[in-house]
Amino acid sequence: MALVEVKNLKKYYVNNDSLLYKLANKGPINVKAVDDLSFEIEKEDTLAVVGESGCGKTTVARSVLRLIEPTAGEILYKGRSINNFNKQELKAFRADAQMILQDPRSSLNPRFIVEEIVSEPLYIHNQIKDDFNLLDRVWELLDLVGLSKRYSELFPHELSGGQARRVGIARALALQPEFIVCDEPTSGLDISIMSAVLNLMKKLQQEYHLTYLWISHNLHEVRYISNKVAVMYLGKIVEITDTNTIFNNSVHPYTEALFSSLRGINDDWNYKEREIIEGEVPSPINPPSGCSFHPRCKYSFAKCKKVEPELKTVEAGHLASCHLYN
Amino acid sequence: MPEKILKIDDLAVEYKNKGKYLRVLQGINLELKKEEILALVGESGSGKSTLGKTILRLLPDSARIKQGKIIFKDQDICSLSEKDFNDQIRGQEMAMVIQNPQNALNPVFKVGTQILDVLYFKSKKQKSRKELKKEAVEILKKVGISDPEYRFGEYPHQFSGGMKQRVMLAMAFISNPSLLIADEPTTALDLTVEAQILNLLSNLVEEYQTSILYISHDLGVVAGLSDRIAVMYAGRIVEVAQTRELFAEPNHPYTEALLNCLPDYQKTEELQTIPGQVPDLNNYPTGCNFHPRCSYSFARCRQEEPRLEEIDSEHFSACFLNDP
Repeated sequence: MALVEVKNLKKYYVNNDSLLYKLANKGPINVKAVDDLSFEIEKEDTLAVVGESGCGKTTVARSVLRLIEPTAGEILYKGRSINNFNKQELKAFRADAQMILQDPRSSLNPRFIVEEIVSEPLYIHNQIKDDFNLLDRVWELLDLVGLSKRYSELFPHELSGGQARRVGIARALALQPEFIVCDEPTSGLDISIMSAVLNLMKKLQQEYHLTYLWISHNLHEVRYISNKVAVMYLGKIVEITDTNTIFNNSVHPYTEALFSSLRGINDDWNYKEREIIEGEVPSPINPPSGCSFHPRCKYSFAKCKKVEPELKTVEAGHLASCHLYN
Repeated sequence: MPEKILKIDDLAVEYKNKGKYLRVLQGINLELKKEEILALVGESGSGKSTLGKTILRLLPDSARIKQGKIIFKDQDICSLSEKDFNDQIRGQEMAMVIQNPQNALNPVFKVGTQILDVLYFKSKKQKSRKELKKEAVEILKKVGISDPEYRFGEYPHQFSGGMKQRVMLAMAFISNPSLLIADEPTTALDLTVEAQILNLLSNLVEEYQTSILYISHDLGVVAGLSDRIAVMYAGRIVEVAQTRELFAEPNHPYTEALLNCLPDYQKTEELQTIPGQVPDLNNYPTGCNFHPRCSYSFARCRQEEPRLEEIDSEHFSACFLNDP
């Protein structure tokens, strides 16, 4: 059984705040941030969700942790629907599923010292026997993420970006979770620090049998950390399969376009001669008809403009939504 | 031998902090040829943006040029008066594209008006804005903005990030500058849009025969854009080489370590890390700035500062390993 199962997740935001719309009495506009998404994450897997800004990656991350309530659909954690959890069950789930946030510094309380930040989850979940043990546990957690004891007395503003990120990871690990949602955990970090964080996350995964949902837009990083990849475009998964296949045998034209912008530093290439996909991601308020990628797709034909493709199996464990393959 | 546009000679820049001057740039020697894209890479705090600002004389009041010369087209621009520099060079011969296009355009003026302003001043206030409108629309079209006539009358908030950066590039190229300083112009953009902007930039460079100093921390981007790369570490340039050569045969231990850290889709082995941290501005180590983190360091690294020396044709490195 998969650890996390997402079934037909939908999250629509209603946009009717504007006075003009109220005057025109046009009724609410649905912004389909996430539209009919289904995927599974097996235990000890890392599923990377990639896509451009506004494609709904973060909405997925938050829905999976029930930080926002979905409009429709079901999210199963260990086979049980998290949307029907009562208060007690939800609290237990919160301890089991953690999140590492995008901005390392603004996710730490500036008035708390590191010790308080890392131990707060332990207080909330009543896992403290006495204060003496508490400091030992904090030190242990800091040691795990490669910070020495002296950091426990520092404030977030005294930490560098990489250190702040490590404190965020230590806090996420405090309750020994099984599942961690990582929302662009390396964005804004320098290369040398980024590689240290990636190695740390990989090591922790092996040691503690963690399962990651990894949100990212750095494809090189995705290759390194994940074993499954879901590519999103305008609120939908367009292709999902294991990492090797997506890098070598992707089928969806958007995946192709996205990964063709990927070059290694040792390849001989330049931006001048490269074929580059045109246009930008359309607004989710007014998405194109049919396949939402068709205005930018070089293979598009008549059917793409009218009929929305469904996510279908191309081969075992490889799903894509494109009329070319159905 | 191609013409040299810019030559920086032993430049040092300091920032005043709590009554004390901190060395931000030290012993910078750099040359930029005509129609060349030189990438300046380094981690945050290495001084790459400071160097860009120094060349355009945009440093804050708390900073001063301690020593050195910046020679732009046979003229030492450090000795020019502020007025002369503004009249002759800034915005005319040199232009800049900054990191965040959101902050670079004035939100209360129409995009067209802002382009017209640049054209108006370029014509030395001789032509009327009405006459210039056609030219402005033409420029928008050239940088790949669809429906330019309509877009001309829109405000910056109606433009996407990629389109704003296109407008910024258009404005920078209006005066046909000899040198463009681009400070991470694509960091705020998506992957596919980033590729579009860099493709546009490459084509504009060819058309206008401009040299570019491209400041970036993304080695993947500069691999496809630049002719040469200068690697900075803690206020110094540690290595300069042709792009392909730098990636294939890095000489300086810092460059080598940086490349080993970089996740790359072709790489499957474990990533390496650089132990320690970038030194603090007010507490630089003695000798080579990189020696506390360097796996090859020996006694001499702790005592003397290595100079940037030519180790191969057009390949410069500042490391004592080359000079036993």
